[in-house]
Parts: sequence; structure tokens; C-alpha cells
Amino acid sequence: MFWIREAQVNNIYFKTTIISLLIIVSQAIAVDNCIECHNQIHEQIISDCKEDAHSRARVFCAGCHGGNSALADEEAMNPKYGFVGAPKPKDIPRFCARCHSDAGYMRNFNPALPVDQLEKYWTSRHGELFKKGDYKVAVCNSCHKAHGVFPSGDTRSSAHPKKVPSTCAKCHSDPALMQTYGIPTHQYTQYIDSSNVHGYALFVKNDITAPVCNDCHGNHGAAPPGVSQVGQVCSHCHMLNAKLFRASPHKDGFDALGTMECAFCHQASPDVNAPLARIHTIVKPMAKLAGTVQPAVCVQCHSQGDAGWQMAGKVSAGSDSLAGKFAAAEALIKRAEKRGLEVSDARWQLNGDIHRAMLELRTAIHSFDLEAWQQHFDYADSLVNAVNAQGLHATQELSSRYKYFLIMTLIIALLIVLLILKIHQVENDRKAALTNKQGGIRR
Amino acid sequence: MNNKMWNWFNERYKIDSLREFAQKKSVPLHSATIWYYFGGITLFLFGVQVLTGIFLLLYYRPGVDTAFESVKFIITKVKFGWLIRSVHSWSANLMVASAIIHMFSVFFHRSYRKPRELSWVTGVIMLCLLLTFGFSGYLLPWNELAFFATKVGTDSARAVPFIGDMALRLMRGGADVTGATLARFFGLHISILPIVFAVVLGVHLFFVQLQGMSKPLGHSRDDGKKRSMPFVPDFFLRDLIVWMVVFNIVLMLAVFFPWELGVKADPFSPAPAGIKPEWYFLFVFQSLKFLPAHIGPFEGEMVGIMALGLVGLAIILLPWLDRAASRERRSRWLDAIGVFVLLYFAVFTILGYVLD
Amino acid sequence: MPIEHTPNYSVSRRRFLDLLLGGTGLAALIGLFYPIFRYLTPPEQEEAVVSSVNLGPAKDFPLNSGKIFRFGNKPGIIIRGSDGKFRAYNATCTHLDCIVQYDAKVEGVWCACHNGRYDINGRNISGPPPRPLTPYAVKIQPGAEEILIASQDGAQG
Ligand code: HEM
Ligand code: FES
Repeated sequence: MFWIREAQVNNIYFKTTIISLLIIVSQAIAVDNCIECHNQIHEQIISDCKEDAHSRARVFCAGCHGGNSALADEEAMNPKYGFVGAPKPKDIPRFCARCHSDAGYMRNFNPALPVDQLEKYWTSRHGELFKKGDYKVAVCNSCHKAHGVFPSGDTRSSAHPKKVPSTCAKCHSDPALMQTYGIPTHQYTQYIDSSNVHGYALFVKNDITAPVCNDCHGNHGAAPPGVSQVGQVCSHCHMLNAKLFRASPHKDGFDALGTMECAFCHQASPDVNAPLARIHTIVKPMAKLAGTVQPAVCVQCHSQGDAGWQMAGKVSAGSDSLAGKFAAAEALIKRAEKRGLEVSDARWQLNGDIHRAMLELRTAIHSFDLEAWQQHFDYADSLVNAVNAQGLHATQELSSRYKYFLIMTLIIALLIVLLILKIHQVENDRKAALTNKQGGIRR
Repeated sequence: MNNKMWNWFNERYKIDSLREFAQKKSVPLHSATIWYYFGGITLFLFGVQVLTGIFLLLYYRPGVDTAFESVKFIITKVKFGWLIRSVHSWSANLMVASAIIHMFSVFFHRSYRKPRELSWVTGVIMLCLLLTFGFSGYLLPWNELAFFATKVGTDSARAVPFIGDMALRLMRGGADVTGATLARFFGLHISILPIVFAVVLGVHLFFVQLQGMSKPLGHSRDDGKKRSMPFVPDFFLRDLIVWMVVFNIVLMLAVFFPWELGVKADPFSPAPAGIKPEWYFLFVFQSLKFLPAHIGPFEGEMVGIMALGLVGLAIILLPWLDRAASRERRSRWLDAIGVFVLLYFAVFTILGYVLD
Repeated sequence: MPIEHTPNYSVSRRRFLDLLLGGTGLAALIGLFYPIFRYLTPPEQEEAVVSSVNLGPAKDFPLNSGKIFRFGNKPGIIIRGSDGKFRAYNATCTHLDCIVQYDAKVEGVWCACHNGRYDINGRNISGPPPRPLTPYAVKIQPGAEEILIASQDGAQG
């Protein structure tokens, strides 16, 4: 394969011409002779490649493996036609880079495609070890496959967001393999834990924008983010929280402790003695996260009496009462809806303004500034109170409707009874009048 | 004092004669007397409609930007607005129902026979007016369901030969159901229809008073002695009782099943699933659905609408078509047709609800 | 009252019945008119809220700026692009319901919650938002040059 590297070094246009020629030739001939002979022994490979990115770009077998697909016998695989066969792992990064690092060439297919994968790869942990001669590390096809390569947005791709965790786990969940590097293997199980918000968003809610391995660790330049980088990574999406946090007293404190900014509090069962233990299970922030009793995270560092302890107590009590009130208000509104009352305004409030206010309240915690938090709390509280009042009003309204109906029914029933008596009386009178032979009908 | 007032008026307006007139009226007694109540129920419900309708008008504001909002305002912000609106809606439906029952009872008793032909004709006209009342009122809250039901309903006018397109545009006030339609339906509902209805109702009641209650065909013969009940006060008191019961039912429906408002109509959204007209139009809707696209050289829907028109014409002309009845005989054929129509109405209405 | 022989109903009994009847009838009337009277008294909020909102004169909106406004029960955002054109959307982010804001630097809409971005036409272009923003119709009253926002489906926007 080195002939081509030389060509690349010597004359960048040479290869382009060759490959372009190859493409033209392969397009010109209707049958690809590689497939003609290999369809038995490489049936799976051929079917894998059928619709993949390379085939769609009309890069067929010979496009990677070399050789002359126009020839219909073994002569096709003569090295003089550039035949290289199956590359060894140690050759793969450069093998793929022949094309993928060639901006001029890639422009033929998709000018927007990056061409720096190899460069990034060398900076990754994988690439570093590779350079040192460790060929067990991941190379291109470990993640992208060799045959059946799809763009990462395609669900068939092993680099599609929903596939990435399992793709990485192929190696990183293998204890025997990881032992040699001294890397733990629990990341995948932690990530797919249903209490992991990101995994839940990805797998259950089908939100493919939820972060997977490569969103925090990088893809081609994969490396564990440093202690100081974690917050940076989270802030990519959670910017407001990060902004507040960085301006808060916790920032320096956390740095000093070596606990990774966001991740420390938000991992499942945070423990200051093992700050990274559950870092791949980021749990949905619940009210109990802040408070003065386990499992609240604050007690890991704060102790009774200090300012942090006090704020934690207030936040936890406030959140609890707010959640309770919210549930009560929602139940009231639900009941009113069921009885046919028009409470869509309250419903909008619950799902809209209050939802947002609660979100902002949770964000405000990151300032670790009681006063700022209190302001948001008061706002959310007032909204919930207003809806609660609407709910109570609806309940009263219902009972007053029922009361009205009851009273009216009683009156009407009485009226009916009296009318029946009246009819009785009228008829009786008439009969009496007749027997009195006075004739006529009583008025 | 009471007497004084009476005399004062009597001197000037001769109410005595009116009273005598009222007292002359009597209601025949027989096994089917109960059906006589439905005319009165319909009248009572009309009163309820007029009253609640006028109250709704205080807050209702027609217009695509205001109609839905104002109805929502009535049922949320105005004290007892929910009651007024729910009573108006429920009572409208009960009114149509009781009018239909009234008509069927008149039909089976052959009460339309000479000399009461015109009572029947005015009755049929009122039923048409009533249906128009319902159809136009349904759109007024400008909610999704009503919007699309009106679209479908007015669209069937297109099938009428020759004048179809014009009729459609006339009804909608344009090519499509828009604010213009709403304005039209509003004017119809709160001004034209009430006036026309009141006039026809007056004529109808006048005829009834003038001619008294008919004895149903069949009952008059087999019952040897003449049995009857004075209208005032005996029957009227009973009428009152029935009205009270009906009113209580309306109240109950309004309190326990408040009329829904739904979501505001969005002309740009696709029609939601399960669009249905009001129940009294459902049998037509369902029948049209069953028709094939083409019957002979004609469009299926057109044939359906024409057939409906013919049936309507036959209903109006019934007193003249039914010659047996004018000779005091009962036509078995006509009974059979009546039962068929009743069954058809029932079955197709149920089908309309059950299917999809 | 001329009738002497009333075997079952004495005069006093009859009067009593009439009295009761009148009383109950009166009660029924009161029961009827009470809601009507309440209905007629003007409610606290005197008019129905409407599904369009007037945001005032167009000249009050600088080029390349955005503003959040309240639209019934929903937040709306009105944007005046550097082209001078007005666009309005439901300001609720299509990802997880945060309120979006206008980012003049990139002339687009930005959601602070997860760094979601929309272009000036409301199309989601980066970050988590899965759908474009819901547009509102913007009308400019001809004479007054006032901006009127109307949603296409009313207050539910
Ligand atoms: C003078 C007579 C009447 C007036 C002034 C009147 C007025 C109104 C008004 C203002 C509305 C709109 C408010 C609302 O939708 O709740 C309405 C709705 C309606 N009206 Fe009438 N109306 C009258 C008689 C009738 C009659 C006789 C019927 C009988 C069939 C009727 C059936 C309806 C129906 C079905 C609705 C829709 C109810 C709803 O969904 O809210 N109306 N009417
Ligand atoms: S809520 Fe707007 S980006 Fe997540």
C-alpha cells in the first residue's frame, strides 16, 4: 500500500487522477468482476456493502482493496494493479486516510465532510498507544466497521448516536482487555442504567441529541476529559447552570477537592471519598439532591451550622413544599376538567409558566446564593398558589352548582306535588259541582 | 283589588271572551293522550331558548377572533354563564327531539287530516326552521368540531343540481367557511330565524286554538262516549307539571354534563378525526356516506340530496297525499311507511355513532 | 266562592293549597332569576381576551432585535431582522419548553436551556430542538403602522 503513500507525497494529483479514472472505469463497466467471483465466499461482505456510504459514492471493492475489477480472473489481483488485499490493523488508519485525509479528493463527494480524522486520531488515547505499537486499540473500522459503513446520522451506522454506547462497549466493557490498561469497565452499564438522564433521553425518549460517549470524550480525538474539562463539556448544553456555577463559591472549592464540577453532585450516589465512582450515571435532579439528610449531596461536605447547611435546608424544604403544592393544584385542576369545568387557563399555567418557573428555580440553585434562589422560589410559589386558588375556586364552583341543582330540584319536586294536589282538587270540585246540579265549571 | 284590575281591563279589552274561548277548548282523553304533551314541551323549550339566547347575546361576540373567546369568557368568567350556555345547548337538542316526537305523534294519529292541513304545514316549516336554528347555532362558538361539521354540512349543498354552487356560496358567504360564514349564521340565528319562527308559531298556535284538538283516527270510533278534559285548567296544570320535569332534566344535564367548548377552530389545520354533525343530521350524513359515487349517470350524493328533497316535499304535502285519512280511514300502507321512516332514522343515527 | 258541597276540600284547605302553590311558584321564580341576576352583573374581567395582540407601533422595534411578549397564556417572540421584516413565533422551545431568545450576534434564535439554535425563520439548525418554532401571523395595520400578532389557532398558539 505504500506505493500510494509515495504517490500522495510526491504528487497529489496523481492519485486523484488514478482514483477518478478507476471510478470512471468501474462506472463504465456494468459488472464488477470482484463480485462475480467473490459472491460465494464473501456473500455477507457484499451484502453489507450494498447500500453503504462507499457504494453510494461508487467506491466499490477495488476502491479500497485495489486490483483491476475489469479483469475476470486472478490476474485482477495482481499487485501491479495496486491490489492490497485486506489491510492489517496496524495499517488501517493510514489505509482509510488515503482518501479521507485528502481534501481535494473528498471534495468530489461531500465538500462539507471533515478531513482531519487521522490528525485527531493521533491525539487520541487510541492513537497515542497505536503510535507506540499497540495495535489492540481501536482503529477506524473498530467503530465504523469495514463493510457496511454508513454516515453517523443513519440508524444503520455503528456510529449512530443510539449505537455509539454499545460500539464503545465492545472493548470498554471487556474486563480482560481493559485490565491491561487499568481502565474500569462499568461505564456502559452505568450509562444504560435507566436512571441515567442522558441514556433515558436517548433510548426511551428517542432524543438523539442526548449526549453519548463521544459527545463528552470526543470521537476521533477520544480521550477522557480532564478534571477541569468536565464542566466545560456539560456547559456545552447546560450553559446557564454552568455560568451560575462558575461564578459561585463552589467552583474553587470543587477544584481544590478534585471533584469534577457538575458531575460530582449529579452522578448517582455521590461520595466525596470516591468522586468518580458513578460518574456515567447522571441522575435526574430531584428535590432530594439538595438538603441536609442523606441522600442529599450537600452533607458530603457541609455540616450542621455552616451557611451551606442552612441554604441546603431551606432549598430542600422549599422544594418539598412547592412539589406538594404543585401536585395538589394539579389534582384539583384534573378533577375540575373531568367534571366538565373550563379550566384551560390553569392547565396552560401548569404546563407552561409553572413548568418553566420550576425549571428556572432548579437552575438558580447553581448560584449557591440563597437570595437569588429565594427570588426564583417566590415567583414559582406565587404561580403555583394562583393555580391552586383556581383549583379551589373550581371545586367551590362545582359544589355550588350541585347545591343550586339540589335546591331547584327540591322546589320543582314540591311544585309538582302541589300541582298534582291542585289537579285533584279541581277535579273534585267539578264533581261536587255536578252533583250539586249547579252546572258549569268552577273557575 | 284583583277584581278591580280585572274589570278595568275587561271593560276595555273584553278579556272575558278570551277566557270563555280558552275554557271551551278541551283535550280528548284516550290511550294516547300522553302524546299531546310534546307540542307543549316544544313550546316551553322554545321559551327557554329565547330567554337563554337573549342572555347569551349580552356577552357573545361574533367574529373569528372573538367568538370562541367570548363563549369561553361566558362559561368561565361570567357568573352562571356556564348554566345559561349549557341550558341553551341542551335545551336546543331536547327541543329538536320533542318537535320530532310531536310530529310523529301527529302523523300516527293522522291529526293533519281535514280540516287541520295547515297546522301540519306550519309544523313542518317550524321543524325546518328549528333544524336551521340548530345548524347555525352550532357554528357560533367557532370551535374545531363545529367548524368542520359546518364545512361538511354546507358542502353537501354543492350536490344540489343547477343551484348547488350558488347555494353553497350563499350559505357560506363565500367559497369557504370563514368569518363571513360566522357573521351570516349569527344574523340568521339571532334575528331572522327567531322572527320567522315566532310568526309561524303564532299561526300554528292560532290554528290549534281555533280548531281545537283533533281526535286521533281510530280512537274516535271505538270509544262510544265522548271523553275529554278541559284544557284550562286541567290539562294546563298537567302541562305545567311536565314542563317542570323537563326543566329539571335540562338543569340536570347542564349541571352534570356541562356542554363542552373544545378547542378553537383552526381553518389551517387538517380536519380532526371523528367529525360528526349534530345527532339530528347524522342520519342524512350516514346515508350519504353509504351511497355509491355514481348511480346511473348521476352523482350518488346528488341523487341522495334530491331524494331527501322529495321526501321533504312529500312530508309537506302529506295531508293531501293521504286521501284515506280525509275520509276518516286509516291507511295501513302509510302506517308501514311511517314505521319504516322511524326505523330508518333510528338505525342510521345509531350507525352514525357506531361506525368509525 | 259559590260551592257549598266540597266533600274532600274545605275552603281553608283549598286556600292553603293555593297559598302553598303560590309560595313554591315564587320560590321557583326566585331560583330562576337568581342566576339570571348574577349573570347580568358584569364580571370582574369585563371583556373576553382575544387571540390577537397589539404590540404597538412598528417603529418601536429596532432592526436586528427580538422581544418576548405575552400571548394569552403563552410567551411569544417577535423578531425584526436586519432586513426590516417582522417574524413572530411561539417562544416555547420545541425541545423541552424553555423560552427562547433572540441572539443578535448570529441573527438567530437561541435557547439557553441546552444551547439549541433556530435560524431567523424559526427552523431548528443546531442543538437539541427537534422541530421548528410555531409561527404566528404578523400583520401590520396599514394606517397606524401598528403590529398585530395573530396566531393561526388562537390562544392555544
Ligand atoms: C331568540 C332565539 C335565540 C337566540 C337569541 C339565540 C342566541 C344564541 C347565541 C348568542 C348563541 C351563541 C352562544 C353559544 O354558543 O353558547 C347560540 C347558540 C346556539 N343556539 Fe341559539 N338562540 C336562539 C334560539 C335557538 C333555538 C330555538 C335553538 C334550537 C334549535 C337554538 C340552538 C342553538 C345551538 C345548538 C347553539 C350552539 C350552542 C353551543 O354549542 O354553544 N337557539 N344561540
Ligand atoms: S429546551 Fe431549548 S434546547 Fe433544550
